[in-house]
Formats: sequence, structure tokens, C-alpha cells
Amino acid sequence: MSVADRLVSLALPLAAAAAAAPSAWAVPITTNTALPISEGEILLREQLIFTRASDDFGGTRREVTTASAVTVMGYGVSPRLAVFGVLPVVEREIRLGSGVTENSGLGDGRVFARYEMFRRDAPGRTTRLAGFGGVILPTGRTGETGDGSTDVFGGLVFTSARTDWTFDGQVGFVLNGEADGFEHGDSVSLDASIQYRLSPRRLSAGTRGFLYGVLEANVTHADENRIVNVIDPNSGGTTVWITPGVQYAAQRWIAEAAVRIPVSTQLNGTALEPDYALVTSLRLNF
Amino acid sequence: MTMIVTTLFAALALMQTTPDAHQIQYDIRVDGITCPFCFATSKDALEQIDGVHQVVGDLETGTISLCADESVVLIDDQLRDLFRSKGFTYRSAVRSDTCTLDETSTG
Repeated sequence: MSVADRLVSLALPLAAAAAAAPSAWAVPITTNTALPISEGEILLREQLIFTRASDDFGGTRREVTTASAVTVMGYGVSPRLAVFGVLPVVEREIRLGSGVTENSGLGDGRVFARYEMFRRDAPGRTTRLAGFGGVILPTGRTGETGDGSTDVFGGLVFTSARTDWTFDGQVGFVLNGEADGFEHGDSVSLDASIQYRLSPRRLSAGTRGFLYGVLEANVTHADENRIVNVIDPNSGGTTVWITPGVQYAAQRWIAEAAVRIPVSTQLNGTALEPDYALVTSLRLNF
Repeated sequence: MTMIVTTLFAALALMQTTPDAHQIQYDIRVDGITCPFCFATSKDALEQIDGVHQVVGDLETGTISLCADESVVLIDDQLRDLFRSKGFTYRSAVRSDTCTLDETSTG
């Protein structure tokens, strides 16, 4: 269970990040933004995420790969309030020595809302602060593609956007529930993302889209898991990720790709360490 | 007789085209617009106003300019609501009696 859950833990922050970004603004790839969805508009994002974690533990090869297709739908209820639904489909393979276990199906979905609390606009620039909160629903199969519990998450996200660059920063938390005697450790995360316009260098009336270079940093700390109320010493810890990527933002869609690389992993006990995550996605606005 | 009919049709045709022939221009200052999409979503909303023909934007200055029939009157409250629903901040609009936008300009 702990190996599989480690991978679920890896995938979930990315799924959460998928949601809150409007199309065609420069936006973070693995975290949220405070930029709005226009009133009455619908955002659809399809994200493909591939993660891998592996090591050799006591002479036994441990390897977990997960491929996820994450569908995100957002709706602008008002200029300040947007609601989101996130539903991942997960395919996971776990190798322990010569044994292989495969699971696939719906993962745990999310619903949440984001509310813009502060806005300062100026010509060609904007600064926003938003709060978000929601629940993670046990839509996955417990112990396979989901952890079976209903969890609560939330946080604050700050965005400062110019015509040539955008910065996003976020602090978030997840309070995990318990199901079937198992409970993921609660977690906190700090995220930062900068998107810099690479092309065109100069704007014109005919500019139809922008190419951005993206650099993101994420720090996540998770408490140990609990199994029948007993702490699992081989779970939880702190991971620091760096994520370079590219993003093309057109008037009605965004295409993007990034690779998430762990640069520091201080995990407890024999917890499996992540190798990398590949993220691609397409966002559409209607 | 033929000449009279021809003249009547010409006059009618002129009456039909005169309102469209005279275009006025609005230069609208909107804060918070930083990307092509921000402009596109506002452009769509402006083009749904009857009589608005051409909308172009300048992201650097936060200015949206449009050409419209002379009969089009845009008021502050209407524009404030329109841009607020898109997530931006309307500041001001200046009306000019002639449209000087380049026909080849695009949004």
C-alpha cells in the first residue's frame, strides 16, 4: 500500500494544479493562478501526466510508473468567483522485484472554488490575490487508484502579470481523511512560477499568440501516513521540485509541456523517491 | 421617367449607406489586460454591440479602439459592466468623430 500511495501522492498535486488557470493568459503549469475566468465562460483543460519513481532497496528493484489523464473543467460564476471540477483517469504499474501489479481507472476527483480577494489593475499589468478551497472525493478505487478518503484542501495564490512576464506564488495545504484504516499524512506546499515571453519580442496589433518559457519551483512537505492509527515511518517527508517548461498561449487555447525534476528529497525511512514527472496539457476556453 | 426612377433608387441607396459610411471611433482605456486572450474576450463582447465594426487593441497602453456607426453611443456604466464581467477594470472612453483605424489592423 505504501508504495502505491507514494505515487498517488506524487500525482495529486499536479492534478490539483491543473484547475485554476484560465486559457491563454500565461499561467503556471503545475500550480494555480489568481487570474480570473470571465463571467459565464468555461475552461476545459486536458492534462497528461507521466510520473516515475524507482530505487534499489535491499537488492530489490522498486519501480512505480503512473500515467494520468486529468480532465479539468472550470466555470466563471462571476468576475471574482470560479468553480472547478477535476477528474483523473489513472493507470499505474508497480514493480517489486519480479512481481508486477497494474491498476487503472478513475482516480480521486476534486471540486473546489476560487475567489478573488484583491485586484489592482494598471495599463498592461495586473496584481491579484485569490483564496481557494475544496474537497478531494473518493472516486477512485480504494487502495488502487484512490485512497478512499474525503480530504479537504485550500490555500492562497498570488499573481502579478505584465505583458512580458507573469509571476505566480501559492501556499496550499491538504488535510487528509481516513478510510479503511489508512490515512495519508497532511501536507503543505509552497509553489512559485514565472512565465517569460520569448516570442514575439515586440507586441503589435496583429499579435495572435505568445510563446513563454516557464520555470517553476515547488516545495511539498507531507506528514507520515497512518495505518490503523499507527504512524508509518516509511512515509512522508519533504520534496523540492524544479519544473522548466514551455507554453504557447493563443487567443482561445494554451498548449504546454514541462518536466518536473526533484532536486531535493528528504523522505522518511524507506519511502520511494520520485524520479521525474512529465506534464503536457491543452486548455481551451469557450 | 427612367431618369426619375434611377434617381430615386440612387437616393434610396445613398440613404441606406450614409449611416454606415460615417464611422466614429472610441478609444477605451482598460487596465489589467496583459495577453491576447484578455483582449480577445473583450473584443468578442464589444463586437456584439450593434453598429460596432472594427476592434483593435494595444496591450502595452491598455487601449482598445473601435470603429462604429455614428449612431452608436457607449456610456461609462455599460463599458464598466462589460469589462468587469471579463475581469478587467474600465477607466475611460474618448469618442472621436472620425474613425482613423487602419483597415488592415487586426485584433
